[in-house]
Amino acid sequence: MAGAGALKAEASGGMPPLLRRLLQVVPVLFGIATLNFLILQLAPGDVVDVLAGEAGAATPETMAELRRSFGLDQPVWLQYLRYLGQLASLDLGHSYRLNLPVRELILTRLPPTLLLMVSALLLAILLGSLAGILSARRVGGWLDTVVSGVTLLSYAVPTFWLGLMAIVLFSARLGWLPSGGMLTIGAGHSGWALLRDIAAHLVLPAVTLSTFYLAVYARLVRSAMLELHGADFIRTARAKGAGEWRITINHAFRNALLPMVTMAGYQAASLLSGAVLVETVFSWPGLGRLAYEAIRTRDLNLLLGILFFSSILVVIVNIAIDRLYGLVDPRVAPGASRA
Amino acid sequence: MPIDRRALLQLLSGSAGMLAAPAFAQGAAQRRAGGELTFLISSLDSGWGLNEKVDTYTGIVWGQIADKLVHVDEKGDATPWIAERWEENASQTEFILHLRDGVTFSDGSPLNAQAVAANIELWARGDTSRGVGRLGLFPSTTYKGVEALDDRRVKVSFTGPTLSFIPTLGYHKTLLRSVASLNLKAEELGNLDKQLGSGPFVVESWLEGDNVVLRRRQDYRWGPQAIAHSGPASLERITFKVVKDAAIRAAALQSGQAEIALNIAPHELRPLKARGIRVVAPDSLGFVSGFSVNTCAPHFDDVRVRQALQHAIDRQEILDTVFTEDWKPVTTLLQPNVPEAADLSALLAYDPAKSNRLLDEAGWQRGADGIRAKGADKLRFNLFASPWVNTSKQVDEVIVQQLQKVGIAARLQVVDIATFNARVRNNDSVPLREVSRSFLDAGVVGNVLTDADKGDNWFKLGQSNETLNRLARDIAHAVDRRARAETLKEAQRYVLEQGLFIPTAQLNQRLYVQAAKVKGEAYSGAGYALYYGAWLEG
Repeated sequence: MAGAGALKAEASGGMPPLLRRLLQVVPVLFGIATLNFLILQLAPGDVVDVLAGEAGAATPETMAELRRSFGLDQPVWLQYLRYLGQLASLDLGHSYRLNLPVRELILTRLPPTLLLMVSALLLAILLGSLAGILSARRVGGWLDTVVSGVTLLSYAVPTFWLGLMAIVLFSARLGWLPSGGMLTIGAGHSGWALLRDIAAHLVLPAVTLSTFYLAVYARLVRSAMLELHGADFIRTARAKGAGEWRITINHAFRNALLPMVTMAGYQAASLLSGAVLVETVFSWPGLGRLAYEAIRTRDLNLLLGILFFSSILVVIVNIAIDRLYGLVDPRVAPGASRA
Repeated sequence: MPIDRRALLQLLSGSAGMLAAPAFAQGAAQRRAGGELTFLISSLDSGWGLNEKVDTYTGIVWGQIADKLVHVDEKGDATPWIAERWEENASQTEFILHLRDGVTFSDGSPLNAQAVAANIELWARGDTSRGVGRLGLFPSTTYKGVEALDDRRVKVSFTGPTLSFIPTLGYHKTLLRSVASLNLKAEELGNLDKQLGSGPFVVESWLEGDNVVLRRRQDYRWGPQAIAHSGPASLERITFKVVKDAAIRAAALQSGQAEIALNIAPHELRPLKARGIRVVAPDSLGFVSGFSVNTCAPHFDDVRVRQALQHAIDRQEILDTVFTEDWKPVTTLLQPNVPEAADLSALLAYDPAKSNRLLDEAGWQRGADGIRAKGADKLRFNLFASPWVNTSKQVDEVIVQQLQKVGIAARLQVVDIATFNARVRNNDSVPLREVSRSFLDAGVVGNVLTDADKGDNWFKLGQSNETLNRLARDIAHAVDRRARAETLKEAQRYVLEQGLFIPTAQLNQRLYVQAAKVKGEAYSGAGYALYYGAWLEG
């Protein structure tokens, strides 16, 4: 789909495809911002309900004053316009609950989430592709049966349960890996020691998060390669005397890459939501956990900021995927000639 | 102003501390300086702002960073801390706090009378222009003002008797912060680097909602008199780390990755104890877990329905099913360690036959489905589990089944804090509101009975009940704690007899599950840990 977008942009001529794509993003982001705002209006209670707590501080007068201070007493349309105004000036405001600038909160949490997402996605793509290739090479064989069984299992097992079990086994029982966090807090590591420390903390959450997606890639690669099994160009390659591995990797797998890249684009978005559970289980200080807390505490500014930021991230990933199509398959690259 | 009996007692308690020196010396011989403590906590999500932003979790961290004017023990008795002594007039309307000399915040600025006055003013009034509400437990309704008499004396005035003022100064939210910290902009108030206290530890690093690393403050020498330690803290560092899942906190504790984990599920405590891990359930002043009854809710204006509920709950079964021996049975609506708590167990006896009789008399007949009804009206309601208490859902599940046995249908609803407050607060269709409130002075009981003087009006009776009006008035106007205790006991009896409060279980909001090597920690009256005097054995 994203590739189709690129094709149309090229076909229409005039504006460069990237610029055209970026311009298309503006109404998309506007729509996302509006939808985010409206959905949050439907949730019962607001941040003042949370702040008031239950310690007797919640007199109606205090609550009314706080709502006035946060602008929550204004009509919804006015709040919406103010919110859009803030976005237009790239000012995400501050969190009413945490008393910190939203942008600062997001930028602190973004690197851990990106690290987790990218690691999980790479793991899923690499291991998933390998499993898919091995399965496709001997359809119905014992390896295919084992890979199919394992992928089905990892597809079906809830991520949080898998995470909990991984902690119990590898951290509590065997003591091989830390149970949570992104690094040993207060250890003051730097250089290689810091990298090793982060890597040790990353193993369990990245593997856990990748399992579901790994299964998807394995099945995708397997079926794509099977579809190509009897294709003309494979037979030609075989007739020319190419080895089976060369055929598998250079011809069949390369063609199976296209649906994989499309899938990676989709999964960038779903990984972000999947990260909430994994970040919670592994105490990973990422954006997902922050978003969950923002929902729980009706921290409107923070949540809108996170959603908006995430939307931008997903849009950027999709633009990147568009560009990647060209690398994977020159036939769909901008400027390529079509029959 | 004459120093009264209580002030004299404070001076005597100081002498008693000196007499206890040999015991302290013995403790000091075993003490080991240095070491790091890792504390796993389920949340640090409320941020580091002022007043009510301090919650049950961040309050534990704050206890190490910031000092308080007094330390309040598990009996509600205040002992000197930053206020080395205090005077109070006979009518309990004026207090003069005498501050310890030489105390500084971690940036070196003095913790003097001006700084204390600025803190008290903000507790009492809040600053809604920066989104800071007033402090709920502070006696704001009678608060008149605060004045720095000189560098070390602060005078606080009230329009009426305020017995609760001094104990409230030991509350986990009445933290002393530097004047610069109090005056930060709204978007900076949560910056822990800029929130400075005068406590035995300072912030080394932190990540919002994830962790805080504290380092010992070397020049600290003004700890609470009640703690048998002087000079800087023994522990070198404390790391607070958020681990949301209780099972993972338990696993990390078992594998030695942490020394303390807060709030492990009760059913997981026994195996941990068997491995030599200690469970500390400090006594905590406050109300027990239970329900305040909204008499405006359909059918709950009838005292027989309320009393039927009181006797339909088998509190022993709740203890046996959900909790462990770390929870004591409830005897009234106040925690067992509150000095004014009465033993009214007889009023809370499980007696389903009595409940059935009361409901029959009230005209509620059992239908074919087992639920009582009066015409087309069924005796059923939504029961909202408290989002502040970890064990609330499990307790309420047991209660729903118990009520079902006498023909009352309660539907359990589990929601988050915002939804709970939006749906339960001021909603007269919800008869039971789960309460989990701590206090340091039982005078708070008077504030919840009616709506007089901005009272919390728990039972939604306003000022229509003469007995409650009198009790609230007498508690509010009391100038002597002992005389007030009698009124408080009468209030407890009346409230329970009328079925206006339905206690369920002792409230242990803070359960410290810790390695046996952790020694010397102390707890405030509300169950907040102080690691100033703590050390690690071995």
